[in-house]
Amino acid sequence: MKRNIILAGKKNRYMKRVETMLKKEGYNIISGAEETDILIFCIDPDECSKNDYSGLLHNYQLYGLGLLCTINTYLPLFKENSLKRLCFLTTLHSSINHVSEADHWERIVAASCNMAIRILFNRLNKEGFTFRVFGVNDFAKDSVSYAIEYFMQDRSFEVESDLHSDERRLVIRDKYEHEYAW
Amino acid sequence: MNQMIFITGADRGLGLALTKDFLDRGDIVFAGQFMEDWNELAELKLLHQEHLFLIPLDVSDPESVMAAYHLVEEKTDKIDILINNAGISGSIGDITCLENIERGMQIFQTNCLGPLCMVNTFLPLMMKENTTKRLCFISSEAGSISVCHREDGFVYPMSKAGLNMVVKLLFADLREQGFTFRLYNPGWMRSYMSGKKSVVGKIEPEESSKVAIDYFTKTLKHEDVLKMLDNNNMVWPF
Repeated sequence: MKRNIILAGKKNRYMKRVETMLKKEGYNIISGAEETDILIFCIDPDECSKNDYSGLLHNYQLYGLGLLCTINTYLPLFKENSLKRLCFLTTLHSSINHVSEADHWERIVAASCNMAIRILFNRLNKEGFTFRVFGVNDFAKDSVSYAIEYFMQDRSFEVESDLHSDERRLVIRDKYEHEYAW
Repeated sequence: MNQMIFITGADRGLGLALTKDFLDRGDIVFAGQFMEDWNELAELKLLHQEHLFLIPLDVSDPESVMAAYHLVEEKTDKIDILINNAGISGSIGDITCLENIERGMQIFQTNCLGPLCMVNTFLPLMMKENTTKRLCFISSEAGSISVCHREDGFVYPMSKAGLNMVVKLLFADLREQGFTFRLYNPGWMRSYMSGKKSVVGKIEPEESSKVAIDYFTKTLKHEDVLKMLDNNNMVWPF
């Protein structure tokens, strides 16, 4: 069955490779006028120093508020019989727990985006939307095949038991299926 | 010994309560004043002429922060404790019908970038010899992604999660230079965050201030660990 996919967020080379591979695997990349099954949003804020307040604010507008506006726009395109999957690409370094070096201050925006996704999950998971948050180590170098597999693979789900259902959890995972704390 | 304290958002609520409590201890307080037409700080100034200084301050405006720095610099050669308390609230509604999205920018600028700007700007006054080098931040349960229960609103919790990341990055940046950190969840206060005094909430700002001031001034067993503690001394996860 060919799935319809919307790509949104940062148009970086990683997302270009995602698009190429998805097309190769037979998925339909659509612009947003048709019904859709999957939305993939890339959170990759531009690099900012600790004093670059306008840069951080601009990044927040693009990826923090932009993420919400994108979901708001495309939500009506997810019909009842669609897969209803919301996928997010972010950096592993968006994990507040994971910070050990004081660099890449644009992670402030990425962490805010994680909160946005969490609230969306709380709101939409019970309406049948499933979520994926994939942590990229290096957008320039990492292979996209791991993210695509993670997005497309179903996870455990039992109607009678939320506790037994991974689809009822929201975590950041990397290519090795390692889970990262927020 | 009298310490030099700077408190942002000291006009009312928790900021005002902290100002009073530090003055009662005998410290010297520089109170960031955002609302010139709100009288309480001015009335307090009459009682503490030599120990309280009102500093006009909009933390969301880097120029205002720099002007505040210069005003403080005229009065003292050091700041021991910086308390980033100023904050605003708001909501952009449900994901199916977002509204007033520009408010989200203001909230992020104030709650998240404001404290970053304050630390960056005031660092020279805090790097002096014999300063306490204590950086305090008022966060919120709303900033905890791990135990977030909200289904809408978005922008306030996003700003507080962003603030928690700011603090974690500053912690990585400044720990080696002797700075110590306090990240505080003040609890559900009957505060002025909505613009007027809230009738809902579990505690008064004055109650939370008593817990906060103890947390902000004592030495911890492990200063190399960053935690968010609340008014009941409970840890909140990021």
